[in-house]
Amino acid sequence: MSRVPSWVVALCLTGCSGATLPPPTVVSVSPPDRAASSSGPVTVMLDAVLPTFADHGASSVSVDDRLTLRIGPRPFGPARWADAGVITDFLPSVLPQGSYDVTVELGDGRLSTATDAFRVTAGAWPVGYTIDTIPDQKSNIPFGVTIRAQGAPDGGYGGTVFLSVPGATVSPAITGSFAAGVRVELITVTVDNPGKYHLDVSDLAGRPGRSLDFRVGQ
Amino acid sequence: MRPSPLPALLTLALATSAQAAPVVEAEPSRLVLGPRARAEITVRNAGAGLHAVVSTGTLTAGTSGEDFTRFFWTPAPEARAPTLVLFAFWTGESPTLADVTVLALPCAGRTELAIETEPTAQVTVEVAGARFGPRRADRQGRLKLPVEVGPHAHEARVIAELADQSKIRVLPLSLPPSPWLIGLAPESSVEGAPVHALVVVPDTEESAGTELVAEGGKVEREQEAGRRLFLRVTPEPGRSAVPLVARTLDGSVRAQKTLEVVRAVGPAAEPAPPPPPPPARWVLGGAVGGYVGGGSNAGPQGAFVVGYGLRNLPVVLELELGVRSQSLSTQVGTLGVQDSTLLLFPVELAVRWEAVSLGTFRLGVRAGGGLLPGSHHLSSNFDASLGEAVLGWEVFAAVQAGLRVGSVEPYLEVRPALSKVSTDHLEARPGGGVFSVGVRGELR
Repeated sequence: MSRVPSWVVALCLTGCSGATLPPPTVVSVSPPDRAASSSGPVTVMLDAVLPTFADHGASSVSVDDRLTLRIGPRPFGPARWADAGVITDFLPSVLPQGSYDVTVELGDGRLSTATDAFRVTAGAWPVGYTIDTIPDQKSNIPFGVTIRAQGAPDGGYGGTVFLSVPGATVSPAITGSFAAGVRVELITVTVDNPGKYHLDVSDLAGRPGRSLDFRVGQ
Repeated sequence: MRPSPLPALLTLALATSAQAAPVVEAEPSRLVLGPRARAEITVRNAGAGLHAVVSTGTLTAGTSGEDFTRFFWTPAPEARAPTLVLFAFWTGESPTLADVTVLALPCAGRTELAIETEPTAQVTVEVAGARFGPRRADRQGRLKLPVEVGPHAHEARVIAELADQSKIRVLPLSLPPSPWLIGLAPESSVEGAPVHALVVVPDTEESAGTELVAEGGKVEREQEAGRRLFLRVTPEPGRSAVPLVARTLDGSVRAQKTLEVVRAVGPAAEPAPPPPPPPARWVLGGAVGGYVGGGSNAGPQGAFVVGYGLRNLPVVLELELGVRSQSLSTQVGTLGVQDSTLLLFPVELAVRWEAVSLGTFRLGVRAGGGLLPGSHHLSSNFDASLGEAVLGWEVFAAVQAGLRVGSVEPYLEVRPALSKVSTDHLEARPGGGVFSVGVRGELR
């Protein structure tokens, strides 16, 4: 009868206990495709075992809920696991036409990629944008601006535009979705020097828009 | 005038060969009943297992020698009537008539005859050849004359002589019949087995016919020689006694006896020496209870225990196969509720020392340790479930107190235990204080 080597017992004592956690899984992306000129919420459903440690002596459980989710190169969703892995976030019209991987990474480094899980189709863009007159503003004080898409296809433009104020910083950098070709956005402009500034907008296709100058004081 | 001697009445009774039968003689060969009446019966040529039966009176064993056996016979105290006493002797339990010796001992009764005859006559009485008198009658012709009447007498002849005249009168004698003899071989029936019944009718019997009636038994005639019968009596099932009656064909009972039915008694079974106890003993037991180890290290537990030890040592080596369960459920931030369930199947070896044994009370001490294989399950309402195998360890010491009840021993155990189960996802100590109620018994 062969004798079980002692190192086998030791290996078992250390290695037969515990489990390696499986990688996370992207269960679904909804909607799975969208036109490049549209924006709106996207839902990514995830399945994962979060890194968990149960301490029965302390009657406590700790869970590492850190989460990194990307659609293509763009970060998506919160930085923490939420809503039982059903992640919904606003995706502006910033992705050109093409197929994009959806990548999820947990706090312990487990990573999973759903290849070509999100597809962006060709968009229908307006010819340009106008911005209603902006009265004088104060730096770092939010105010509203109305942006109008010109020459949009039927149904109006539903995408987003990039915002910029030359010589100053503006937040947010991307608007929300246009509705029927119009977007009223609450923005904050921060300037170092009071003076006259203007707001530039542009979409992914490069169609521009520019406001009249307006004064931003301290 | 004395009665003439009676013919020898020693009867070595056998019409057939008496070669195997005992030789019997009586001294005296005839008796007159009275307070001092006694006869000495000597039996020769008898082997082992001599049986002796008498029709009336008492037969007691006397001195015996190498070649003889002696009995003494005495009549019943109130017996005064003439009778012919029958004795039967044989050896063995299955005799035939040829094996039986029958002796008839005549016993005479003494009485006083009241006679009326001619005045002053000289009177002589003859009874069965014996003469009594002469004696003279008084002037009224009356006299009383003592006589002895043997069992064979039927009449008394009264001879009255006066001058040259002689008158003879015959007086009939009415004697009670002599009892018959019933002997049984063997003397009792074992489990209803048939027995041989010997019936001997005295030659004084005047009524015709002989029959043996058994109440609750079957009678079959086996052998007959003259007035001697061998019958086979078979008790009916369930009978404890069978009354036997020997009677004439007109129904007059002449003898009675009871056949006892006994249960078979085997030879006294010598108590078998107790088999030497096997040198080893096996103990089987089980226990249930719980454990508390701090925090969520608590839950129910149970165990099955197999023990092996040497009978002459108060130490038992035990293998314990158990089960334990504990769980934890807690809220994790805003994520949701996380459950952690641990199920273990301890496999442990222990040594139990039976330290104290006072009456039925037992106190034992245990020490041991082993492995705690099992599974750990994580589940929540916010992420996927996880199952993992776990392997922990435990060392322990324990105290047991039990009561011996028959072949089993219920007991209580308190076990301080140091244990640990650890993985990347779990830290548990499923021991601490382990409490059990159990019972065990030794295999015989």
